[in-house]
Amino acid sequence: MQDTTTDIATIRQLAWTLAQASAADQLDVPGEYVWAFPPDQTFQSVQARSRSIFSSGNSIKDPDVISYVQGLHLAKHLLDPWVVEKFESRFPDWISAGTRYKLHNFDQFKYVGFSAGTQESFINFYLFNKNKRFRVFRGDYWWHMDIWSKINADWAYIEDDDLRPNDICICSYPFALTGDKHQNFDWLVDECNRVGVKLLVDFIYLPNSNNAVDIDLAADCIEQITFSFSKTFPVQCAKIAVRMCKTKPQDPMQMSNDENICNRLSAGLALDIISQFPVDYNVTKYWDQQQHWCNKLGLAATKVVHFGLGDDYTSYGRTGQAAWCSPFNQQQNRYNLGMLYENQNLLKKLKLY
Amino acid sequence: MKLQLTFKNIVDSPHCVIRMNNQELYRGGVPADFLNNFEQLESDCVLIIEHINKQPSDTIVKDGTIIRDRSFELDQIVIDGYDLEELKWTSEFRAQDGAVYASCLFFGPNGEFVLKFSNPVLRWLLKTRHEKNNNDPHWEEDYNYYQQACKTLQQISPQ
Repeated sequence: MQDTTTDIATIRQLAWTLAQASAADQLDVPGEYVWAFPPDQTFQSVQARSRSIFSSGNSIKDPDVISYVQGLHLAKHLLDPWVVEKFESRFPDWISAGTRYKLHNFDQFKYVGFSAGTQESFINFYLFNKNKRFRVFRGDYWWHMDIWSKINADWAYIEDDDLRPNDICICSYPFALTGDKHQNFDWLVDECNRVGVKLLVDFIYLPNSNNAVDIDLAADCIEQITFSFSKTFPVQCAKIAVRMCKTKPQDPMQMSNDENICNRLSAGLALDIISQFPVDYNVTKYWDQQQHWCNKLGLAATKVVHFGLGDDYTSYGRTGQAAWCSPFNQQQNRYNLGMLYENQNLLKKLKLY
Repeated sequence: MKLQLTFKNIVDSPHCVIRMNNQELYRGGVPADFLNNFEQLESDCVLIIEHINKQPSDTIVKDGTIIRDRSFELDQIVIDGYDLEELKWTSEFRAQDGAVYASCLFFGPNGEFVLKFSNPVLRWLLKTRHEKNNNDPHWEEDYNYYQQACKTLQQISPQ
């Protein structure tokens, strides 16, 4: 998979140090998820956190974005009945301005909908296609498989069976596990077109990607595309995402859009952010950091700027409860380097940079 | 070293002596909670909780059945913030009459509860648990990383 040798010892040292710093409130940029935050400084708490330091796909907690967001007056958006529409009208131009990817025929997606995180789009996708069999490649966003299992939906990995007419597919691009185009993505598009199966393309990491995406969105099978803010900007818990469709969808999420009852605070925040930061803000700012850390740790830099690939540093001594949040969350070879970027000052002080 | 003990089912004001490596930490009525900070330089440690001053008259028997008995139980041992949990049972109770009871947290007769462990207690906990359960072969590496992380961060800590 890679030419480099993962420096597990250094990675573990960094993981334990950041975990302890998190427990002791010594990180440069605080604000981790509650599920990840060590409840105290005991060995067990720090150990558990050390094993999840590089997991998740969430954004880099960029201090300049955080500072900008903290200075916003968000409540004013509640008074603006047009704020969601403004965001929805400006978002496609913001995406189109990106030069590090190619979205051919992007303009065919005329229906832009604010989504309370991509999860709202996905739930609506599941609901509207509840009688179909859902299909994903192994390694795609674990949430799909977890939720399908919980709601007893019919689903199967694409690798495990031919595509059949009653199937419906989701694929992230860049692919969630590797930060690059899935090796069988083109085959999937062709096969979906041949069999008459729809494919939702999830551009989850697109703004943070660099020359990973080149896609002709005119393909008949692609009717919906989604974009996530939580992987690009540290506004995870504001639940900001966008769904774009070629034809107007008829589902609860669209109804919320039509009724104009979407979350104005989040849409206003999103509008403020895209007015301030270009779509490739992170790639520009952190590409050097990615090279630095990947070289130092023996990781392969991916085309998504906050990821590196390497051997699993948590595999030692792991037991069944090693996957966080879900048994389908098996992506320990993908390192989210965000905490290393965010805590540069701390790590330099500790001579661990 | 910070030693926290919790006792329960304390009946008729029993008395005890608490010692660590022969250093007497407490003498008096059994408290529900006991807390003491003291210097502990030695690696090998012996915690002794001695039940004292119980008289035959403190046990009331009626029709061959004990209906009231001065006694107490040890509920929890926490050392340097680490609850020994199941490892509190790796102890023994040496009654004054010479009888030895393994894994006994009940203080009925006069005698000594004895728990041997080593300092630092976290290292002992991890090692002992792995020896018993054989489920954490990398405990020592993790322990060392943890110690290193704590030490590294203390360098820049404001305290």
